[in-house]
Amino acid sequence: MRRLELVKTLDPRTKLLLVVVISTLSIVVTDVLWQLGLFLFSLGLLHLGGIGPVKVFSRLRRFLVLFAAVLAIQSLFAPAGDPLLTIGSLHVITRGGLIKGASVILRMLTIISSAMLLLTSGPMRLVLGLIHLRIPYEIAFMVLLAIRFLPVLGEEVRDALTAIQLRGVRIKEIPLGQKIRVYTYIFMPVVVSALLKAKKTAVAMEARAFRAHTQRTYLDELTLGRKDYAIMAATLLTGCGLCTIYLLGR
Amino acid sequence: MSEVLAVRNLSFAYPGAEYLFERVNFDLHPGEILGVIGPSGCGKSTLALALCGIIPHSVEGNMQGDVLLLGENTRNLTVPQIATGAGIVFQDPETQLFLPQIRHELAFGPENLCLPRKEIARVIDEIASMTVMEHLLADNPNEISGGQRQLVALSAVLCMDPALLVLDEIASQLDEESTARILEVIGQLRDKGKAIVMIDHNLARLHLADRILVMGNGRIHALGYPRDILENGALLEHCFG
Repeated sequence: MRRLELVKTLDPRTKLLLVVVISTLSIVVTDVLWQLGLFLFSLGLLHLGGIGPVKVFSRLRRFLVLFAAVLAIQSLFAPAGDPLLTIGSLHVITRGGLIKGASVILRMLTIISSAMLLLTSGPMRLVLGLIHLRIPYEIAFMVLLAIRFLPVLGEEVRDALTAIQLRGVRIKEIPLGQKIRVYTYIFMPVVVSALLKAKKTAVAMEARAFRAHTQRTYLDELTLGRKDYAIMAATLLTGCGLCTIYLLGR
Repeated sequence: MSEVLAVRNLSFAYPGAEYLFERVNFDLHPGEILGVIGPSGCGKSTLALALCGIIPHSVEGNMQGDVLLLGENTRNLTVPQIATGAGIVFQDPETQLFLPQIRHELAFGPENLCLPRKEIARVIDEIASMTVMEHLLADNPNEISGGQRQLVALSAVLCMDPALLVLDEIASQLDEESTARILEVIGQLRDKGKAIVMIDHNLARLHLADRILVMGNGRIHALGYPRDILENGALLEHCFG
């Protein structure tokens, strides 16, 4: 329990720094083993914050098709090393291509999973963190609304699909061409509905004096504690150190 | 006592449409409740938007006449400036509540008014105690009942302490218990000197009103005391069938 509290009570600015450093490192390093290490480190941090590997992988599941596509494209268009699968004179899968594909996927996994660290802060604390980083409060609240309304958009799509299914269209059984047509039918209503909701919310915010002044006060307070400073310093030092070791060792 | 709200020859038409209402006139004083009633689509909600300055600032259309809030013409103010004097609660709380915790919803208005932190906390406690929702403050507004959500929306506006409250059919989707609770709060607000415009299509829910404005067919049919309106069978028959 104490370890959960440690990560959860960290200032969101500390978590943002961790995300930036881990993401930057994952872009700088191209070695698969290093990238695997970074990914495992992100998973460890998330575990400490109460988001276990099962939860992480269930969220990453939606990217599976993308990962498979990346792997196939890398393998096909950046062939290197021993061919593992050859059709005619074309090397479809090569060892080097696979390694490059794995490297790209690990990079994406590291960036996504490290960003999940921000989920361990409440949305309002995240907004406060952004405001403390001198981001205008209007933009910080836009981020908050995006977090709030993204699931709503998903619900709208699901509702529209359910409505279509209730009218007798068996989406899972129809051919791909028709499926795409069904999705184009629901695209406009969903987008229009989302835009209307966004406008109504903007009006509701203004009707509660949002942007009445150039500054605003906040009920909650964010203060960087000793552990925040310590973790920030350790993150920066470790990040710079790892970067130097990696670049010198190439 | 000077009026909180003065509506002078107010007319409004959406782009490309006929006037929804024309030449509406009335005053509203502190501690007074004006009930606005009329059939669906007669322009009650549009009138509510005009009273809070959302029309003409955020909604397109042709607005004639003036709305004076605490003596200031709403045309000359921005919506956030108007919000310091007039609060509106909409029929549908879904888009009004956008923060992750009820405590944050209640704090949102006072924060925008730049109140100090301690004062914000005091206001939240006071309003939550009045609307009996202290136990809900840590909850997510999306995880409570419709009646509670409407109370949260009302409380969030009350935390800004506006002189004028516009309530647009806020009890129309609620059960009897929630409606009774909301009406009880409205009664308390009147006693505290708030000027309230209460819009509804159900005359029974307007028993708290000091005067009633009857809208329909693009014009004001009557503005008078509830007893006179209720006894005017011909008028009610004409407006509501």
